[in-house]
Amino acid sequence: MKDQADRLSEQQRTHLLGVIVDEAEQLARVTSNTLQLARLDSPGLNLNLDWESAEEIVGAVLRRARQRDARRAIVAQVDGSIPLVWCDAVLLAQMLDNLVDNAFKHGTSVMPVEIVARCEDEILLLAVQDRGQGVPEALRERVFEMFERVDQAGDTTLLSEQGVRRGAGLGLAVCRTIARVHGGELTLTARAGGGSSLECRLPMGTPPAVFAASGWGAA
Amino acid sequence: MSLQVLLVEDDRELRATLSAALQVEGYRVVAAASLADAKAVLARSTNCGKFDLVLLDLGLPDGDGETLLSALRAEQRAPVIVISARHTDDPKIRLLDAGADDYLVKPFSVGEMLARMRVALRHKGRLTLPAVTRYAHDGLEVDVEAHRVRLHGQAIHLTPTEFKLLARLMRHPGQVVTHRQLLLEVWGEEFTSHTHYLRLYMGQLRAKLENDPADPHRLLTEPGVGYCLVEAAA
Repeated sequence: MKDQADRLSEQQRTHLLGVIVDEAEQLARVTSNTLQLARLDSPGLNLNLDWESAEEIVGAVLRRARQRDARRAIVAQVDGSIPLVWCDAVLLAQMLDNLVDNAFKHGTSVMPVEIVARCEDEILLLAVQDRGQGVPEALRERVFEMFERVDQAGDTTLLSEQGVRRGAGLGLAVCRTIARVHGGELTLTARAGGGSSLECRLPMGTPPAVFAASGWGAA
Repeated sequence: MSLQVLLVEDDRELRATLSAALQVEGYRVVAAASLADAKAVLARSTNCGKFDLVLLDLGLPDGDGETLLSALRAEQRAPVIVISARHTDDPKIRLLDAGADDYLVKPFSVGEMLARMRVALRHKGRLTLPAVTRYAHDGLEVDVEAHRVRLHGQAIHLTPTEFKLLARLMRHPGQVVTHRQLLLEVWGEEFTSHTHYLRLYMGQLRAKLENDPADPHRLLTEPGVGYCLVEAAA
């Protein structure tokens, strides 16, 4: 582009500009994930913790996923009776954003990606599930390691034009770190019927009462 | 007449890129590279309504752009869109509370900046209109004066607090209202840290007004910032 722009056709220029934008976005993702990992690992980490609604966080993630790629199907199953959870909403939403992008990459375009939120005893389960090829058992822990990417025969979704596999393998490492700074864990399990379920389990506390303030009536 | 934009940005290349993009869109641009520069430009513009919109970068060489925000708020009716780098301590909420109309976090696309400018200008135009007391969108009808809410023709009963919350969001449809603003205006000063009240009442409103509360299309959440009622289709 830099050297030959005047000799390229409009179509070639548009194509090359598209490649530049894609690469820049990819680089921005890698940089942002690297910075996020460094920040989450720092000893003076300051989380913006508050009593948050899982339903709201999932709702925001659904909307953002559709804004990023309106062609992909995504649905949510949220148990409406989940109590408020003590967490950093921006970080949890970022974790789910990353997991949804990951599911879009690895899932099939026919079956929707599913976000599940429900309570299991004292634990909040947030899961993002796809119907892709799944990850072999031996590799299920490795996907969370930094700079690890699980390459599978026949999976060309992450191949760039030059046949190089895309992604720096940081997204899931960031997600697991986010789960862990909340005292939880992120794991990958195989789904019955095919595909992967990325499952984040967070400990739940007891939210404060709403009518604690005196003189403030119910309504 | 074209609209005039004050662009306060110290990064020379970004300033040039944004100026060019704004001019292509038909805006007249006055650029300032520092706090002192911006103050001088504002002092020269004796007519307070001179700028239609201000784009304000925070990290300026001679101080934080935030210090200009209160001055701009006091003297200019122009909407202010803050441009900020990614911070560990997220300043978005503080800036919105301090009078910024919107914020852009670097890196952002020119397309997004222009869209947010259009929204800010649209809302500024709306500020001069009488207060919004009626809202109708996608089957939801709210009449604040009559204290009436209908969903697809069916009357919906809201508690007084639910109604106040909805009416507050209705004042600026399409704009995010921060948690702090909502708590302050619906519950009062002493409740500004009780964000869990908001979560519960917003949950109740979604349960009454959304088809699927987990996948809302009316009452939208901006995690860590606040809530927004979708704008009624024109």
